Amino acid sequence: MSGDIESLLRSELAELADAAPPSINDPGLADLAIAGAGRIRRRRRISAAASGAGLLVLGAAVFVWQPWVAPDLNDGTIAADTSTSEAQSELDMEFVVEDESGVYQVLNEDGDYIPLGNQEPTSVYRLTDSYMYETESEVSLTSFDGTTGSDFEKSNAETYTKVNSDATQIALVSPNAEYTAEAYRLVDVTMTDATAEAADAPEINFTANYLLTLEDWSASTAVFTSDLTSTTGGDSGAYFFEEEFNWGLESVAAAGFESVAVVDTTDPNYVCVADLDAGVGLARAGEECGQVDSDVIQTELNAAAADDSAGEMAEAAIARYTGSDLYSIFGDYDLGEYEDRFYESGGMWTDPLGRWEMSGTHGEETWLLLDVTGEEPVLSELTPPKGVMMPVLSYV
Amino acid sequence: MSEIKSSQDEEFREYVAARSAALHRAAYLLTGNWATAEDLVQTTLTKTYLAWGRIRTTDSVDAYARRILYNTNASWWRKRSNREKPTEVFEDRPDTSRDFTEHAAMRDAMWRHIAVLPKRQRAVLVLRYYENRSDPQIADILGISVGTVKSQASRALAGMRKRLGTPSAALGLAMEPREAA
Repeated sequence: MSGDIESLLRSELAELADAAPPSINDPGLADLAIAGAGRIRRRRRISAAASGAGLLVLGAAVFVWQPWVAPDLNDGTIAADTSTSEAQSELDMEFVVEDESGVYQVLNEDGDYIPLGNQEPTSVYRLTDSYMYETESEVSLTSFDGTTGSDFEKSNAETYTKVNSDATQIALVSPNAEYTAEAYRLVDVTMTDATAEAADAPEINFTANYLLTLEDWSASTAVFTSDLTSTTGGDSGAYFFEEEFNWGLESVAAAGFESVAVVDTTDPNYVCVADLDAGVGLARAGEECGQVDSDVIQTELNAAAADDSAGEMAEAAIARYTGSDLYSIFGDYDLGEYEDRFYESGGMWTDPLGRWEMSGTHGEETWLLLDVTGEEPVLSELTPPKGVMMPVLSYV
Repeated sequence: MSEIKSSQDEEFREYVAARSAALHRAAYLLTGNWATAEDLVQTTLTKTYLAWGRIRTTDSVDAYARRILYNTNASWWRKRSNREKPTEVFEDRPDTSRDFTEHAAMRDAMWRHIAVLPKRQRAVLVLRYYENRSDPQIADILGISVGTVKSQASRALAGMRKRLGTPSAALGLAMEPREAA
């Protein structure tokens, strides 16, 4: 479906890049960079000594920075005044820290330390009943009190994770070597019995075309996004993506889903719905496509899954996709003189619920926190806890 | 100048000598003209040097520099978007000998489309189709999720396909609605 454009892109980008003029190997580049860095360091020192004034209005986007940053009267340098405890209490924030013995732990809102393991995490999430602790090679679940847990090995280096909107299941998604399909392994992460381990819960496995991206799912319905209108032109009617493009819906059905909704990436209000026979295959050939608020699509969404979840999930996915993804939210703010530092730190994290974005580097005394929970977005310097690696990203 | 700093500077010069051409090529594809690309690379190298003492011994120097390159470009665009149109025209295009065939027309349309793409979408295309990075690698460089990488690429390709007059139709890939069996 997209090989034509992709081939053109590959060849044209390579051809264009190869036309680079010879001047780009200028040996003076490094010395110019070194000199430029020296000027920036001097300017920062002067700026730090002069700042600490009251209200600051930044840039053309004009948001008001009520500076949680204040001058330290003792030595004249900038002192951050968003403390770890303020972030914990006001934003329910938890942090991943490394202790002196190399153990990674969650510092929770109550100030308790919950041990996770010895492998350096790439990310840690808070789910309904557990922390999800992801490293390069595996995903681990740990109960909130740290007493129970289970590990899931990643299939390959490209495996990544998704969390459903209920934060009750995670998906380990592994693309194949050719990037034509992705294997999905869905794991129940609810720990209703404190002694039960999530590893005992049944897993759900299916394989779908790489062109489909799983956005959300329930017990009965899976919602994906994909490019639909370049094939359908946005016209309503029955189409046969499964038959003609091998979407993998048979596999999704065999995994126990009753319906699939696919939201178009160009026009998110355009949806295709497939009715599945759970555990068996397609309930009927073809997918019904059209505007989500049309009678035909509403009927299809409501009829396809017994628990009526398809309609709600599709509409929630559309809402997330219609110009409101997290990057759009945070990308519009002008951070003024802090912008370079914000985007060039060792790590940058966005709250899955869209309340804040944070950037920082392991070992630095202060990080930057962009809080959008109030009427005005506020940027502040945060003093993270000792040994901090990253914030815990919460889905609940 | 201390011996340590001198040694670090020499390492930085070696890094620049080895990688600046690749950075320039990526910068050109992101910005659309060589002058802006040179500014972008110079800024990237300056910022990389600011962090050199911290990153020089890691395996991720190049990943760090690339992250700066892509994010600085996005940052520039945000800062300038209120007063400048983001419609850089790709300059110095090679291959002037080709006839204006249907393929050439399609290529021109493709560049016009790329020139007005949001910076994030353009970055995803360059990383995926020029640098041949995997989607998880792109997500890491741009600081976004893999799902966002895929959706951004999908949006860019969908828009491009529309602009090119749905080449999928031209290639016989488009479908018409038909009666379900």
